[in-house]
Amino acid sequence: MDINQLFYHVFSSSFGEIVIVFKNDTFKLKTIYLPGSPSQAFIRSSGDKFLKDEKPSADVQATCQAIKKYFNGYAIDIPWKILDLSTMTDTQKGVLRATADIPYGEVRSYREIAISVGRPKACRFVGNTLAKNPFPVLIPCHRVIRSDHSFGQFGGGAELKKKMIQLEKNHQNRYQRNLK
Amino acid sequence: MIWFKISGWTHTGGNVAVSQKRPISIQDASEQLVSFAIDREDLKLIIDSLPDDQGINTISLDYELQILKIISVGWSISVYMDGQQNKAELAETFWKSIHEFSKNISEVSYLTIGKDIDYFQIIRDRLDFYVSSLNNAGKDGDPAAFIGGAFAGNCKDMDNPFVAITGSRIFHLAAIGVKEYLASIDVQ
Repeated sequence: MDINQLFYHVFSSSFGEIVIVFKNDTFKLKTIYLPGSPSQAFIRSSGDKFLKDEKPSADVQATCQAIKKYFNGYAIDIPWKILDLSTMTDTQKGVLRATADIPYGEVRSYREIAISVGRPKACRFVGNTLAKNPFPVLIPCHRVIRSDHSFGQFGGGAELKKKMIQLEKNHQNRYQRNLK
Repeated sequence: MIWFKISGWTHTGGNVAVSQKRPISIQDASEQLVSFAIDREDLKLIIDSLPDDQGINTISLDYELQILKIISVGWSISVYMDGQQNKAELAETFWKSIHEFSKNISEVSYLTIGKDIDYFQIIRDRLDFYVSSLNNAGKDGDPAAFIGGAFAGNCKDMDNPFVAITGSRIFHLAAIGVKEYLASIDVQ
């Protein structure tokens, strides 16, 4: 088996079907496709380019469980080690890290993220980077909204973004209590 | 490990499963289709999986694949919504968003290389070219095969079967993605 062979695994969450794409040799997550994304059919129908993983390893199962738990109202500890960020520039990685620092249940504007990475005028760059976030849910790009409080673009669609923000608001107390 | 049944499916009586269509606004449907069309992650994964020893120019391949994917999604909206009342409005909203996206690309190109590039015009030219290739395919031809050949020509790599197959595959996969997506939603 080619060590660069990519696999995908399909699983269900309380929000719908999710597809993850990964390398199995040393487990590295390549991307996550959220419920309703047309990319899911793209991956599933791609023949030998992406092989369906019928017997998920412990790493795959742990990743799927974490995402499922998220959609049941729990925060996720971001598993940085398994995320393949090799195609990203340092500035793009900085945007993802700043986004990852947004606490569960809270939101920030694109401008606030731009400021936190030291590029206050780069709101569009932040937006473009987050629009291409390969790890939605794990890196919570849904917590970044427009300054006028509209939701902005999201790979899974604005409706899903709204639902995820609402889900976190509904369960935010759990984490605030833990901090006390 | 036992995976749960897919949500969004309901059982109607005995063991018959019926798919529920998700109601969605034209704006949201268009946003998701645009996200899919401009998403390069799946393209990168496909390019990464190509053999290294076939002399493929991955830079032009990457550039042309992005354009082909946008065109394939736009084309598929028209084909798979044929006869539906929201077809024209969804297609128009999609192409308007692609126009906006193109403006950003043109702007970034100008700032990066100092050259005025009308990315939307490039997309339009390619669209005309691919549609004419599809017309040559006739009713009985396989559209994906004709697109593959035309795509290899755009990449200036006519003789490389890997390039033609990749173009053909992206067209086919983008069309499947749109077809399944449209079948899962109820545009309102």
